[in-house]
Amino acid sequence: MKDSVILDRIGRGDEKALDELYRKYYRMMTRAIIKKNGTEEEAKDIYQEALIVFWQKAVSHQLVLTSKISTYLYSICLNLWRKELDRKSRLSHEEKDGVEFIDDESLERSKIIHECIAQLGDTCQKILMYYYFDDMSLQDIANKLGFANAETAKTKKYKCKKRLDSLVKANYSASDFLD
Amino acid sequence: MDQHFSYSEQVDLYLKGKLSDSERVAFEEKIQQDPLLQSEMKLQQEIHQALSETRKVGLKSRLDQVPIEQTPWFIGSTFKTAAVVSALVITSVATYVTFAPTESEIPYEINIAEGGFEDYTTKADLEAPKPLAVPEQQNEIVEAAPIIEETTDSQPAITKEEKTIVPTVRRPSVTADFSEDPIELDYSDFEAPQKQALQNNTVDDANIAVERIANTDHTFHYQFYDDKLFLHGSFEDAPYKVIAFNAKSVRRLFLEHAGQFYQLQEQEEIVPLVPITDSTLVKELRNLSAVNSR
Repeated sequence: MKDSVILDRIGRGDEKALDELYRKYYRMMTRAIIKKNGTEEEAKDIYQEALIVFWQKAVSHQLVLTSKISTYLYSICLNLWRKELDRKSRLSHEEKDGVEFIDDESLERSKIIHECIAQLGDTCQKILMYYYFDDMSLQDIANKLGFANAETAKTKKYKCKKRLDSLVKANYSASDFLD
Repeated sequence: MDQHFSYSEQVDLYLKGKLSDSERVAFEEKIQQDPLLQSEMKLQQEIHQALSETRKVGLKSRLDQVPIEQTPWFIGSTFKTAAVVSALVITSVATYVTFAPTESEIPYEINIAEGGFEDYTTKADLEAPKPLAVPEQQNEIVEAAPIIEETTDSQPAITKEEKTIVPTVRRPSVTADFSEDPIELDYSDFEAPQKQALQNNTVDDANIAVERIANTDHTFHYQFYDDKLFLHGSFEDAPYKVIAFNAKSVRRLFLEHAGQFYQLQEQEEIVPLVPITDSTLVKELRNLSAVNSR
């Protein structure tokens, strides 16, 4: 599959194109990380992260490719891996210094929100994720989910978000986060 | 409602980092001045983050389901399998045409007459493909058994006796990872006609990358293309082995598993493995398999 075809399909939110892209460069990218002292698991994780970055940019039409997709992915992988190595070395220093800070309240709040998201219907979840994470246009969301038009997508998105907000707020107050 | 709608849009744009610099500064100032708005924004940020995390987890688990081709043999849990396969694997037999007329005589009984360039015959009376461009030679050549210990040896095991050719190139192919460091056959020891003979009678080593895919959809299936073999389903722990017959430009591949033999056709489709029932063929395969395992 050509780069232009992949970009076009991903631009339309076609996740199967992402699968194919993943397959295509899996070995090349993971090997690059492994050569830089990553484990197989780390390499896979970094590659997936890189691919998700690529996906986000392509699906929101923010990507102007000046190189091959593989070159671009490769540079994201290496950047992410560098960051990960930094993070690991910081982490090991913190452990030595005994500085470890876990924000229980944040964790608890995050857990509540995840539970609320899970309570939404499938379509609502998708709309909100496509809109907030993928940053897809309302028209693309409408196409992908089979809505009549962008306006329908916008209204649905609004309603779903309202529902999520109120779910979270109700759960927060039950947990005394909000007075 | 309209006002609220546009407010929530502004929050969305802020969270997505899509406000212009001046809009963003103005928005942040507004938040700063209003504690209620601050706690609302904190909530919105948390929700935004949780949605992102959920989506990422979803995408990652989707990618985890994608079957991966060509996992390098040296990494991952497939290592053991790959090791077994590389140890057992792949045997190319030059005389596909003759297909082993009698048992056990085939590979080892090459009778190399002394001093003779022209006198190569085999007891096995094989009809090996004749080298086209070497008219005065009677090359009846059979490849011998694999030398499993030499898996990592980059030199092909080419033996040369006196002035004669022993045109057996036996190089067990390590599977799966051959794209980057191709092992070149070194023909430099041969004189031209000998090299010719060798090339005419032996086709490339069967470089087959084998990958096992534990997939619940397919119980005992395979795909084979681009020299890559994918085995789908449960192969238990019984070892399997790929047997390749090379002759001229034709190559036939067979899979041996748990005492059964399966012919492999080049195709991208996932198809079930059907055991070969032709008893003559099975017998031949079994013989070859036994010989090559020695």
